[in-house]
Amino acid sequence: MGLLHQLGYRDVRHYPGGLTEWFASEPADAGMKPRNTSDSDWRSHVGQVGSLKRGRRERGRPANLSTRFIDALSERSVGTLFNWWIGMVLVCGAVFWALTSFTGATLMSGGQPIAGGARGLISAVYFSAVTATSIGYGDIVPIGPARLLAIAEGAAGLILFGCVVSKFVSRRQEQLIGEIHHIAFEDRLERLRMNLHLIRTEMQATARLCEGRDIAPPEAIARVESVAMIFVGELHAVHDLLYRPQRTPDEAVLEAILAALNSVFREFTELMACVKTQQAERSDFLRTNLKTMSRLAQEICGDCVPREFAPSLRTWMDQIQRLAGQLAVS
Amino acid sequence: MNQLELDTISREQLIGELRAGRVTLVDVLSPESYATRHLPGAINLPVADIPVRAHVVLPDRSAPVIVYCGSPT
Repeated sequence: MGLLHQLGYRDVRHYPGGLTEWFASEPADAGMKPRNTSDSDWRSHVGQVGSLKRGRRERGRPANLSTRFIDALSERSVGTLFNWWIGMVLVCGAVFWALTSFTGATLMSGGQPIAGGARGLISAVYFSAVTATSIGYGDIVPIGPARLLAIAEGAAGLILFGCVVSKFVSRRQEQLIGEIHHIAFEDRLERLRMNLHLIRTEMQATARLCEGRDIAPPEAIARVESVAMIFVGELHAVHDLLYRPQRTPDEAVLEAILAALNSVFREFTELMACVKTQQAERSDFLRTNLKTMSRLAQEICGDCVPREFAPSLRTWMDQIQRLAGQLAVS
Repeated sequence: MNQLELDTISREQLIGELRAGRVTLVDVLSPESYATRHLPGAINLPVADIPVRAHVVLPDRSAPVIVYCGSPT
């Protein structure tokens, strides 16, 4: 780091603690510094940077109980949450009814306690449902300790209902995002096939000109260069498709793409051979592209891609690798 | 890395300097390390790139600069 000094920087200092000290003593720092707004802004930034360490620490802290509670709720399916809600209504109704039956007046209707027995049970469940939906008509009202339960039920009902509603909304959103991804992916595949076709046509045209000696070597090289550049881009796309697939296309589509790639490689090898006989100079640019091309294609083979493909696809991949090897040699 | 000719700075001083916004903090580790974590506000200038890129990221040679790397050295 004395390098900077040598380059003429006059005011260079070194923080010897480095990453390790900075992130190790972060919590101690939190209590040491005076608190003001800009300070906490600044610290929150530090927190993001060291989030890996802090995240692990915070997960064990009881302060996050409510967060964990919400997380636990949102992990359930809509059906489960709805069942919980129904269960809560029934259980609370039964408790109200039991309180009415055994401790006397708990629920009042029009100034009179509600009846016991089966009629009372229905009234109690009705009251429970009205409370849980937070409708609260007020035709039946709780008195005494039942008020506490009624409030708790109302609050729990709101939370559960909120979860159910948010689930519905986010499910629709996820569907839409999925559809958009699908369209974008199909579009990309279509473009890939189209481009491979165009590359092939262009190569054939150039090869014909080259063989007929109708084209001067520098011009041929220029055309080969541009076509090689586009080809490397598309080869990258195919490589990604095989190695890091967000989605996998139909087998038939993939086979068509691999077959097109295969014939492009064949044409390219022929073209390079022809250009070579013309003794045209290969530019650095073309050489770089060729290197990238063979490096990518070397990684396309039945056994080296991370996923199992059908035998026909594997054959295509192996052929591509072989052709790329020939191209690298030529 | 010859650090003998560089003044060192403690963590508390560094915090003070950063809050005052007077200095440029430079991470001399690899871009990968920088991407994983770095001190707030630091810019990345790997040691190997110093001769080539220093004048680009640090145009003012008289401006105060603080460098750091991975662990206490």
